[in-house]
Amino acid sequence: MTVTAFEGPAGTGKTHSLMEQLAGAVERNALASHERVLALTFMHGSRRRLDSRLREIEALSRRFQASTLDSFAWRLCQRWRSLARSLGHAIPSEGNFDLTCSLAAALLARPAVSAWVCASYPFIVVDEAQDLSTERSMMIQEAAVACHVLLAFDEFQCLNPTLRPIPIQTWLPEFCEPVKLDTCRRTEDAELLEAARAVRDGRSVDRDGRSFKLAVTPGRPQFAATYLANFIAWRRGGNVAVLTPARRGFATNIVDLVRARPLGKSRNGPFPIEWENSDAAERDALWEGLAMPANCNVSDALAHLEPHSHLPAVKSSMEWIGRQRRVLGTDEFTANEIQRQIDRGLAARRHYGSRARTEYSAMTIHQAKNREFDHVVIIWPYTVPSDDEQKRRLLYNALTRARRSCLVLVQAQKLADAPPFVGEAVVA
Amino acid sequence: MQVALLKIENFRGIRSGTIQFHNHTVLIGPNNSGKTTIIEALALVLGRERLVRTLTEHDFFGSNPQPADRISILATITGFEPEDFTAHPDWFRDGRGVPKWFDPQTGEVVAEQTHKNQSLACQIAFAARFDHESIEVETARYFHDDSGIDVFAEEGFVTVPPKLIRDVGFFLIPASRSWDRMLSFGSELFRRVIRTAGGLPAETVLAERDRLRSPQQRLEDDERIQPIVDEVNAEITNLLGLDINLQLRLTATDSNSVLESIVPHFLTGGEHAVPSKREGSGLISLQVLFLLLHFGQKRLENGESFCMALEEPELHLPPAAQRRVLSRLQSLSTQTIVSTHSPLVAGYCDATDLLVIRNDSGMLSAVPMLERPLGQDAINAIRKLFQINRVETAAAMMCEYIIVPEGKLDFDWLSLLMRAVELEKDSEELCMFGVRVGLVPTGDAKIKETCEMLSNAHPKVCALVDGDTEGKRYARELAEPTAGVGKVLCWPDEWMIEDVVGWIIEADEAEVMEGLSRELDGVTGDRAELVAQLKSYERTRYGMKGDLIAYEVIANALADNPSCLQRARTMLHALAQVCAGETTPYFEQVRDDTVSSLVFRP
Repeated sequence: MTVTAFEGPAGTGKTHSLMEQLAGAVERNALASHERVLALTFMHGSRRRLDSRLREIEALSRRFQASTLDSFAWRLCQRWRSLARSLGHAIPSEGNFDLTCSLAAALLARPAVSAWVCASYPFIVVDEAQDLSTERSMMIQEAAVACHVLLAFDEFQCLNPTLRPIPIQTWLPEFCEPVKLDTCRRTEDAELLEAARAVRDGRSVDRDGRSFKLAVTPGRPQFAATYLANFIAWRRGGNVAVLTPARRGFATNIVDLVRARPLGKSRNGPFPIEWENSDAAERDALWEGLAMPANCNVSDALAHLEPHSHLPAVKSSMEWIGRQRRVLGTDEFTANEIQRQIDRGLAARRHYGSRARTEYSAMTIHQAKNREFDHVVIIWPYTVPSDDEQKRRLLYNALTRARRSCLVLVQAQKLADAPPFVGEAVVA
Repeated sequence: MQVALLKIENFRGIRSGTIQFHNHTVLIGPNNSGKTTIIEALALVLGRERLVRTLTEHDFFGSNPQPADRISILATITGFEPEDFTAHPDWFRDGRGVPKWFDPQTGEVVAEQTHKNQSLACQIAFAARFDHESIEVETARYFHDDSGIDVFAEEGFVTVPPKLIRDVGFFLIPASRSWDRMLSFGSELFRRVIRTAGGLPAETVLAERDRLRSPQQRLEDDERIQPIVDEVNAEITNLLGLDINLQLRLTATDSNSVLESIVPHFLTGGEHAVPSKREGSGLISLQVLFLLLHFGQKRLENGESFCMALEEPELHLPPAAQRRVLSRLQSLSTQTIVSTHSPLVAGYCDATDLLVIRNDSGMLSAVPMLERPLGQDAINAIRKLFQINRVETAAAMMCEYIIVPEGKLDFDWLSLLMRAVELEKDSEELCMFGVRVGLVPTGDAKIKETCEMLSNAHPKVCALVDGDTEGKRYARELAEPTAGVGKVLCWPDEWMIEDVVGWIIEADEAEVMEGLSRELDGVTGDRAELVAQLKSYERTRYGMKGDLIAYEVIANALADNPSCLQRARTMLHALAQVCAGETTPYFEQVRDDTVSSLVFRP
């Protein structure tokens, strides 16, 4: 019953400390041949990053399993379903992640289940623990009764207002006092560090530095686009990420312009900035393209899928249909069943695949969570539908993604004179 | 470790059934009831790969598997020491099994331990489906978590690693065994025994290999072979310009072929040993069994488990050896599961360990002949049934139907008559009595108690009562549903078994009575008088009741007389038919007040 927790602002090496702590623990208590470290995160992206960090721990010699909480919970519920039923719980359908995690937490509360998990995973590492919802946080809390849990979090980086106050803090004090980290390791750039601190503390940011700049670009998007093109052209190497709290409108127009043609007096560009789609958007687009009828027989289903069979998720769904016919003699499928297979295929790809590294990318701030880029351009439109607190968190998350420089393009002067760019004291 | 529970679905003649095993279990039951299927199911779920033979459509219940049909065999393994599952990470963890708890009292498996009597269990499942595209059977062996999920259609199943299967240490000696092959290095069993017993005789094998590589007398040097070999060598040299010499060796000259070529021999007195193939199978079978027992002993010494399934030990083993081999087997194994057709073998075992196997259109039932050891209050008649007369009771239990007569003398008479009928060689007429219908040695006229007891383990119990007042009272008692009796058979009014004997004699009264009056003291030529004597204990008046010597003399006389034998056969066959629910003119349904019975009509 041990929990070790690290808390600290972005870039202070929380993951690093986790890894160091873990390496030490594993060296002190060698894992038995069947034991593994279980690494859990909420999102696939964090899982992949944690995975690559764990590979670097020599003492571990790759004896770990990195998984999202959702897929770990699903597996746990599948394997312990007979206990779940005997306790009177219904088995949630696949894809109902919150219910699955809630059942997993209920199962982990049984001593046999947590002991069973601990038999495989004496250590559980949880990164980005501020992102865990109540049921996911409960899973960790229950597991901590049997396993040694190492977790890292930063309350300020929780972007989901409904999760605040963050659930892990409801139980963590019973287990341990978190180790506070405050030395930033991601960047040594003083301006970036100061800007992040200012946003976090609710002070005004210094707008006209060398590596942190805020520009007000009102009116037509042409002006902002030129700003962006010049920034990219003059950045002196490194990758660039365009981040925005709201993609539609202002941000999309700017990126389209930079993608389309050279801009401004210097004729910089065009630059092939690629929008990264969210998993949900990607899935919805794919599903729409398939135009699957509500009910269909095997040959209809395959005919709808065939044109898209170059996509791994579609290919695996076609194989699944073939197998169902073969092993169960099923000939009729509902759209829901096929959609579930597409989801499975996409999830598997997210699990194993990683996004190609591109030099120029664009995405929402949520998508950029926990990632790092050399240069970050934040496009701040009128349409940020949040309160001041949330805006500060968004801006903080975005600007702490930068290693070398950060540019903020604000759609109007009025915005630039309000939080999160201006401190609360000033506004008052 | 041991198998506590085996659940079979859709396998061969079994549509569905569950068997709860003891430490030492003996399966008895009618032919074709599924004893062999149970043992083969065990081999599928717990046998090492070599034990698992290729399955075909015929292994599926009904022989015509549809895509969604599955053979499913679920074994619940118990006997983990200690009972704390975290002490067995090879069995219980993510990527292995989920712990379950088995309650030996109820036979239930639960997901969470609720009291101490429940023991830690791991469930291993075997599933098979017939693939219509490849016309092959696909199989899987995996940790069973919960029912209702199809291993072939869903993902996330965990297969059972071979090491754990080895840990269970399940061994099977099938009925269709070729003993001599088991006693050579070609047999996996033999190799394993050698390995556990301290390693292969490597040096000896290598020395033998070297000797075979360069024999002292070479075949190719033989004066009759040498010219041919020389010619072949010369041809090769001419053709290819290479100097390659032909040599003839007894083996492939590697150590494996030395091992494979070993043939066990037996030296029994003579000068030259005889290869085991030429030896009668009795000796070899004993040697193989002892080999196996030795292996089991080694495993137990190493703290490993050893589970032995043995089909029909009565095959190839002389009756004198059966009991001793069986008790050695039981003392040297964690668990034994034996199937038998031999009442003798069954008689060696405790009645609580005898499982009566029945198959009712695919629904398998396995019920212990005696549910729990008899208490202090058990009456003598019941004790005898499961102790002194255990062999007879077990023999009856192996039949589809059983008849419980009023008393021991009825049992004696009917047995004698049955033997007389069975001994007749040339009869073309069928008699099912003794084949499909077994007879129970009822003690002390405790027919009701006997029926109640046996019907716990056997669903087709028929009672046979006399036609006198007492018999009718029994008939009324037996009609109660609690008696567990399917049918009440009744001799005609005022008849007892002796009257039946008299009726049989009547078929050729003159001759039989004439013969008996010569052989038995006090017997006149009068049949009615004989029947009265048979019913009487008064020895001073030549009463013969319970006089087994007299019974035998009479039975022999009947056996020698074709007409009487015919009557005896007719009567026994009619009894069998009426038990099986077939119509026969010799029995009539009679309703008397509230009691309905089937009355014999001679």
